[in-house]
Amino acid sequence: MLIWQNLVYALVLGSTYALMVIGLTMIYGILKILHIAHAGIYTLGAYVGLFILLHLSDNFWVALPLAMLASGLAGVLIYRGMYYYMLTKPRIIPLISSIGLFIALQELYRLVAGPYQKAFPAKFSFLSIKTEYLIVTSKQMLIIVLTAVFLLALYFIINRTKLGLGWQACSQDIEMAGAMGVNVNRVVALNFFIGSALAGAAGVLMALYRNSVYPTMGAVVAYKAFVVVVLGGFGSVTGGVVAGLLLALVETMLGSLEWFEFPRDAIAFLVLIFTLMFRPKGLFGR
Amino acid sequence: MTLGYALTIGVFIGIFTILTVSLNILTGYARQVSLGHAAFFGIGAYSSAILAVKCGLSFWAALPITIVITALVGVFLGLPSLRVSHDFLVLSTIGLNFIVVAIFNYFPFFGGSMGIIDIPMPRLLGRPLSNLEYFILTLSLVFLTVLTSYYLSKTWGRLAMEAMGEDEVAAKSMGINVPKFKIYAFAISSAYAGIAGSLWAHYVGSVFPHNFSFDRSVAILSMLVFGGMGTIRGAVFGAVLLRLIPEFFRFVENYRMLIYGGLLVLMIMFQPMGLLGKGSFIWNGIESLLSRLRSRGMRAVE
Amino acid sequence: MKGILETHDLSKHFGGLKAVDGVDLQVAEGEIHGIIGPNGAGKTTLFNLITGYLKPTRGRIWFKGRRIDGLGPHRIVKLGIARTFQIVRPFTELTVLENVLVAWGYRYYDTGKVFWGRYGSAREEGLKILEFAGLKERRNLPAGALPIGLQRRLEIARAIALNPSLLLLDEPAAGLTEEEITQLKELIRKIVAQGLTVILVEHRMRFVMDICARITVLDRGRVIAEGQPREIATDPKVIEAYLGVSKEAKGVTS
Repeated sequence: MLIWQNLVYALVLGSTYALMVIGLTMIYGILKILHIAHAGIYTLGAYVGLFILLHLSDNFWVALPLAMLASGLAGVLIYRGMYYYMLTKPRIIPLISSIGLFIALQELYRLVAGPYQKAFPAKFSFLSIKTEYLIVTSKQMLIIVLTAVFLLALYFIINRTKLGLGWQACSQDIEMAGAMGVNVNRVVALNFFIGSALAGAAGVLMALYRNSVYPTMGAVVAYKAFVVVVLGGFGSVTGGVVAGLLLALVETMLGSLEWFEFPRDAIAFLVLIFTLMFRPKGLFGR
Repeated sequence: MTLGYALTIGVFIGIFTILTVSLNILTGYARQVSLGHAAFFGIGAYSSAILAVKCGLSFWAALPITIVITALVGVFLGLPSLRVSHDFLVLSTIGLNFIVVAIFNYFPFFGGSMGIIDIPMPRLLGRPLSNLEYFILTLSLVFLTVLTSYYLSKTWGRLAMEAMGEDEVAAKSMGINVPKFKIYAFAISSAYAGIAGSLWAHYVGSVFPHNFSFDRSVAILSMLVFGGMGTIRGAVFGAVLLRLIPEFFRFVENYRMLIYGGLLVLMIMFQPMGLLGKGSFIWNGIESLLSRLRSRGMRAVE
Repeated sequence: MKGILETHDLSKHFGGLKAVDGVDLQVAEGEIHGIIGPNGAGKTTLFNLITGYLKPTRGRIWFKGRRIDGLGPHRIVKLGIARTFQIVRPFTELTVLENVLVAWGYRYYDTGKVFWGRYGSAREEGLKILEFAGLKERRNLPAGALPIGLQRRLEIARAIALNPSLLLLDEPAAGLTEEEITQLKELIRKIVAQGLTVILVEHRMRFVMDICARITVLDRGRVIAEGQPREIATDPKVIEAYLGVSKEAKGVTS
């Protein structure tokens, strides 16, 4: 049935948004910075994954964790090398910095790997569903399941570990948290690591799904991810995830309408404007 | 380098100067950070194009109408700023930029993705303007923009916008109607952008949606940040430099955007006020030089 | 007694919290009126209600006989009430003179002169105000560079530029040294001598007792006492509300 099929597409799309939005939300929650360069990490993940597939091992399960590691480290580097010095400045400064970095990263990818699409030749096998009513390919299955696993792991980390507690404290009141002995620096760095690793994962998964890697693949996802952050309520991770799935659903449903060819990307921005105008706190915001 | 080519560069520098000066009013004075300024640029360009191609108006007749249209749309697109500020506002402006481009892309009235072409060169004295004459036209409009902008910067309105931009609560307590001045900022800023759009449309001869995308907004803001946000001299300098330098470094054409991005990061880290902004290294040097000359001049008089 | 400012049953409730509850206030023209009370008594909320930053849940406010409750801040300014803030809010990137001129500009912001008149034309008037407030030498410094004592004076200078009949000062003595407080008192007296009425919220009891003609005491949003400093200092309800500041108050009267 078409609606279930659409649901599958929406889940796949929503998973990408969810993975991206986690990092953005976590970073915004603590530092109040719009980390636009996050999309550059997404692309980085895809390229590192590609590199590993071509030169190390064509096994997907080798490429993914390594790509996530690289992305995580890159994220920490961005924090320590750039944002760290801008924490007390007016917020336009990290914002413009992030934009500049994003532009530079995209260009770097283009210069190093070439501007053309490259295929993503990963070897993997996974479950799939093939029934009369519903087909879920192994790639789709992989994305959905993996994202669910990541989200569960994240939930565990945030709610059951010291790091998670530290993060919650920091996102509520960073000075208080520091005064109470939370190693803010470490919490932030780990934040960047986890968020960026997830973004890298999203990049790898999308590269696998679409079988293509290209320098500007992060651009549209970046903008959409911000819509999701706003919709979910800045600073709320659960909100972001739910909003991501919601947006994906709306985009898929509206995009599949036959009587009105909706420009898919514009949907996200209309949602953005409406949310900012009528419910600036988002669905779950504080 | 032929004269024709130099004039072309000159025209584009002029167009972008008008854009940066206009953005300065919105983002420099009123501190409404906008990453969607290309939307106003596009609205101006498309208005001018449609008036010329579909209504048969001459450039000269279309120009004032374009300015009014762009200003009105600017007011409308500026409404989110009454509800949200700072990060949220930036995101809105990005979103609005995308929506405007999507509208240009989607509706046949705007020519869809094929844009509008065959926009004629403005005519004067019965014949189309030459390249040189268009350059002079551009230069005059740049002059007009800078002059009026400079006058504006000395008025009460500017003071109100700066106060509001820095601290809305305090500004309110001084009798500043914050929403009104935000709208003023958007209206004035987009009116100027409309002029730039008009110049673009008639020079390039065509308008396409992707000419006015988010990348363009980033470029305009970068020029302003680079030159010195909050100052007219910074806006002019930023536009001139960032359009001119690539011409001299043709060999780094391939690395242009990379340098662009990197420069942005470096600038904002070490000279956030811009090269010619208040308190910048260079401007401080210029000011101390000027004051030294002045005191020497005084001593000479004695 | 019909004063320049009167409130009747003025209240502001935030859900269950009654920040200000049934406050009746009367301030006579030309007097220096103090509003004191322990922390959380609702003093700043009261100011916010009078100056239009908050809308009352209940009650009315009259200024010069005219109802002003519910009007927005910039309208209140035009009617002749100016205020300073508890935490100074200078426009840090503008110069001291420009800060005053921003306030002076209120005369033009809603007129056609807003984008026509040059603010430099009011320079002389701005300097006069700076001189009155003792800030003339620092006129070209960015306001952010001033020490807090001078920033407070700048706040007051800005408020004066709004040509008010009533000036509301929210904790003007906070963070000031003894010397700065003496200068502050002088400035306030000069202001009142010009014909203005001043209402001030303060914590420093000695300051309030010394300079105010009449005082209203708030506790938990309600008025618990009202009268001259002497009466207030010996009022058992006031002493009870403050518990601990009583020694200081007694010191003044004996």
